[in-house]
Amino acid sequence: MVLTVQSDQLSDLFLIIADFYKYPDQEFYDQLISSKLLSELKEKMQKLELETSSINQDFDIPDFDQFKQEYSRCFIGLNEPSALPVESVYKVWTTDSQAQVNIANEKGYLMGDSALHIKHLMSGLGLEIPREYQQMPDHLTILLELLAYIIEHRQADEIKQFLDDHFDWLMDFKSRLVEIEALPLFLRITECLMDCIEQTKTIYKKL
Amino acid sequence: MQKISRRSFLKATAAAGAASASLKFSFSDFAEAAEDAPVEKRHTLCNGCSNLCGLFVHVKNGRVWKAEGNPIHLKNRGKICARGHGMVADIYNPDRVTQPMKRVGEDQFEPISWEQAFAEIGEQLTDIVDRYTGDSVVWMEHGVRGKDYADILLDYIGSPNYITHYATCFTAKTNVWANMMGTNLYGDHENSDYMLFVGRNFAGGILPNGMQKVLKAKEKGAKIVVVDPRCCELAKVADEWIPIRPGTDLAFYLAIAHVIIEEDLKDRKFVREYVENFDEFWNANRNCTPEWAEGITDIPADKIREIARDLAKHAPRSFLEPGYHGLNAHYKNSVQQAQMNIVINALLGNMYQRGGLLPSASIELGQFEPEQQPPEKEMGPRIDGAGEDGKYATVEAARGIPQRIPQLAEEGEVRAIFVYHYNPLRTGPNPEYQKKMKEADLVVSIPIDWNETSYHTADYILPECYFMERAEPPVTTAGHVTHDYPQLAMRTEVVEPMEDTKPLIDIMKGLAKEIGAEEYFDFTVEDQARAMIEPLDISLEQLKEAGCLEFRNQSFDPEFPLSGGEPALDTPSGKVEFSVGIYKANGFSGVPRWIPPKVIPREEDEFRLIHGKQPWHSHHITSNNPYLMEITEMYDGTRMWINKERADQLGIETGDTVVVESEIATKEIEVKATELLHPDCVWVPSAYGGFSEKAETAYGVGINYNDFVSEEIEPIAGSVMGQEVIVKVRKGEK
Repeated sequence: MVLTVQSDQLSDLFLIIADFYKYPDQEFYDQLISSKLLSELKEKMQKLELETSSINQDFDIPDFDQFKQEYSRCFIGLNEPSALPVESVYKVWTTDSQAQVNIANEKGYLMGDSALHIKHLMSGLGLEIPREYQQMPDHLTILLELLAYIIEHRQADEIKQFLDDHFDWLMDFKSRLVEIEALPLFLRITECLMDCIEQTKTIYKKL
Repeated sequence: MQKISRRSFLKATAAAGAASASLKFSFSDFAEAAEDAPVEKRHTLCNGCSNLCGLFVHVKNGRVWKAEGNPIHLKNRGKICARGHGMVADIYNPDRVTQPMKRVGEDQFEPISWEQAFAEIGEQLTDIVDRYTGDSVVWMEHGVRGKDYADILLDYIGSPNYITHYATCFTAKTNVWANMMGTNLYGDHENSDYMLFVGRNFAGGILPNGMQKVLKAKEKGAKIVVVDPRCCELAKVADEWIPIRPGTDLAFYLAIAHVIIEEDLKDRKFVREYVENFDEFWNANRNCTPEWAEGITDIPADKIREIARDLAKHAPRSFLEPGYHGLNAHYKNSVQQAQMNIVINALLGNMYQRGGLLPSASIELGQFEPEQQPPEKEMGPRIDGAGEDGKYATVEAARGIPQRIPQLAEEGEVRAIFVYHYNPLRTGPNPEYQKKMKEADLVVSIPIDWNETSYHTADYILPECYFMERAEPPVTTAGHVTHDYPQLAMRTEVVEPMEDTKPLIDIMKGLAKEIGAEEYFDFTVEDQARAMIEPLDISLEQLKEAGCLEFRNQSFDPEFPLSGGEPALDTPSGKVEFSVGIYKANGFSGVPRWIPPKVIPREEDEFRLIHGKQPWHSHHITSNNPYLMEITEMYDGTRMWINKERADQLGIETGDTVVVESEIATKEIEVKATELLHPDCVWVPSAYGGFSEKAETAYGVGINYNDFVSEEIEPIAGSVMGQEVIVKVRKGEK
């Protein structure tokens, strides 16, 4: 049985990581450059006995305006090819054999089956998708917030299922970050997230 | 310890905590159940080009599932072309603009809220109007979908400057038909025995039902002749393809008319009763013989005679197709070419005749009037000069001269520009010149995707939602092809807007609120639709469900319009005017006369650069569509065509990369060397040459003719003269 305190730590951990995939505001940026954010992240990981090597380094963080532009370049796609942190984009649009649209078996499109599933889960759990993410409910920041919620409120088998179903695309996402020469911080945080997901799966598989 | 994250987005609803019994945590369980979800069928009008074909879209789990053509709709009769299929799926393309954007640097944008966008634009617009008057504000759009809303905004601020893109498309045609006919007529393809298409590619700029009608006529024995510098897609199903030297269609037409008149093949009764100024025309063009035209057009005189005689032999069930984009914005002589189209058809006496040219079946719609309208404000003359006394008096004000705007922005005359559903940086001439638009104090673009104009010039980008995510007032299906019964079609909301985007009416409401004009936008699309259908015996619900209604109780009269037994066209004489008074009054010839094209290729390496549509793209608007770009890749679709013999002389082979150079640009592109193109020209498809980095699929693919064309203005109709450009071609190093 995962202890309640451990659940809380895991939930907090994923909420912190979720913040990196949101459009940055001044407060987030201040916490980032003051190292408070990364220290907090490491602290959580250490308490959970998770591997922290991916973020054990000093990051070269540009000024706030440049940081926002880097976020936009990588995660919104302004200026250059991007690495959208959206599950649908990395998966075949639908597995429904009856679909008769030309993108049915293609990757690279929004609102795929995974997005529908997230909408279904959110609705079933009584959660609202914010307006900014209506078009991409399977955006990584939403997935992580939902994961945090599920860890806090649901049973272990459902947590395991959610981890298995909705985080199997992160390797492709990371490859895309490398390809577009994303800010090293974004790459390392993503590696850190991948480690955390794998280790969390291990925790729950032991149950 | 307090959690670091302060930005959690998830909010619980009242039902939180008590999970629904039908909740499927497993993705595979969910996917299986989702397959059995009900399917709903809704109607929209395709946005793949300006034909607005009727589409039924099947929606499952809130997503687009399947699309099929509306079997009633005149433009497509149950079919969907490739671009239509591509556009349906493009709703899920991640390259769309997902929320309002504000420019924060060169090629740098920041996402902002709608509230912030409206407030900042409203403040800047108010300041501009206070300082420079409303005359300094311009609304530019493809036309004319936003006009109802733009007019309210422009009236409120006191601006006459509503401008469309048509100078790049067909202004010569609309100008001429308004002045010579006072109406438009269209080919009755299905019932015709002989069809002459010149510079008109029905199978490239696809009109699905247009092609069906042409093919039905062919099956019944009709002859189809295509005159075009390129063996276009339509030419492949025609009986004959006759390559013509580009820019000389006017000479070909003058010679056709010469044969018809000289050999007394004209419809004497029609000309006597319904034509004005025949003698003036004939006196001006008595020397335009087929032999004269042969030297200009490269078409043998005997072939010209044969075509003229065949046209006359089959009249009135024959016609010269009135055309569209093809020849009506491309040359210095486009206006005279368009005049000759009417002259030839009138000589054949095919107007208002089955198998010839017919008007559209029409219905009288109600007019929506908002409860409150802006008080009248004094306005200056149009800033582009269209229709005003002076240099551009003959240009239709309803179309405008968009290519003047960048210069006027640079000169400080234009201070604010709104660009709606229009991308002049890519679809207008000379992109570097077009970039001068950003010299205006305020540039607001209202697009779907990251087009070049938005990316390179806009201070603010206000994304409109996708065509399947919005409803619009009904439209008739008339135009291009004929039908005995009028139809009314409507675009309804197929799926909810996915992105943080808005329909144009809501964008206008947001802007209006900030400048004190909110009360003038106090209506909905449904209010507009209900007012429009008020004279018809239908309900809005009926129209929405059917998508397209045909009115079989409305009579269609293919008779030449008469009033009290006299010709009653909406022209000064009531007849077909072979000489246009307003042209004469402004120093031009009233009747068409031979005018050579502005530029002529003379050197061994010189060619006229011409362009056209491919069947799977609509100029540039579809070129960021991955599905359609796969077709491009499959067919090596970006290649420039060059005549095989000319290519051989220059040591160029298919697959070679060549350097293409005009006075303003130098680009490289692969070529296709072919006998299927007139030797004087090279041809490029109009879809490519994307240079918005954010439109990833289109970016850097191929070249565009507009890269090479300088900003020009044809003096009568204001067109861009998009094919008056010479390029030098040489083998590249790759």
